[in-house]
Amino acid sequence: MSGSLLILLSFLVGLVVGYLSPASLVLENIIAGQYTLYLLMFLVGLSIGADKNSLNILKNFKLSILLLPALTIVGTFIGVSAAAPFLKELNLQDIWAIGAGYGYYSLSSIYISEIRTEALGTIALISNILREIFTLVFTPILARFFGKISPILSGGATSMDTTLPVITQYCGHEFALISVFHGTVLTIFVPFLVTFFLSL
Amino acid sequence: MLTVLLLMASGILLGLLLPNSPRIKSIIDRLTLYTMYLLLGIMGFSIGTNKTLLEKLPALGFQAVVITFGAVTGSVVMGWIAYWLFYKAKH
Repeated sequence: MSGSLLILLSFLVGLVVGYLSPASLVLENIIAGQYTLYLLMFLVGLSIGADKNSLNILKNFKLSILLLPALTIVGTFIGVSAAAPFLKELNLQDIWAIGAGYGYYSLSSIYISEIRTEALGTIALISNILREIFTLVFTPILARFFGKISPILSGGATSMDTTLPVITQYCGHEFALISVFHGTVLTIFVPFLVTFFLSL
Repeated sequence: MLTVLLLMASGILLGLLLPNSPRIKSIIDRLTLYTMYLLLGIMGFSIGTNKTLLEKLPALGFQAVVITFGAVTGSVVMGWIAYWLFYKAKH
């Protein structure tokens, strides 16, 4: 619980400081974020290697690991379809396409803006950023009440990088490689699925 | 994406060379946690400086929230089922 609060607090402090800062800082900030992410990935790798149990789970899980990205695709599809009655302004294909960003907001929102409208692209951007933020903030709670796989599926494509540290921290190092695999597969699928849903 | 995966792979290899000590593990974990807070701060900062996004937020935000809620709920339920089927049952 305190984990979630600290994560939320870091994010909110950044948000307020960013809001009060001049916009000229944006570029430096993106570069800083990139290098911080690199450092984080290295540290996560280090923690996987240092924990000698991390690699064991791959033996126990076997085929089911391959199934996890498919479960995220199916779960997201069912979930956003169920939400559709509350979104009268949007048609079903657009809602499926936004869902198929799986948190990969930069790419999915660019595709959706190009193929449909800027407004729909912005909804995709916000929705997929929210998916990442939700996973970052609620992983400690999800891991505790819904099992240690649910944060990985919630993270979607981001489970390979931005949400990986928090997943590793709260689900254990033994789930780190599964998380990377899951996120990598979804990241590859995003452009195909987004364009597929929009073409229906 | 390739850079990210390569960095992690080099981390894993280096980690495997480290002695199996709980002290080292806890230092790495703490460093990871602090870096994570920093990255989240930077992410918040990015969104905070993006005034166009912030302005559009109320209008488009509601629809985004509803879609995210559906997407995350469906995924979490699937994850819960998978955990019981594949993992919990075997341990």
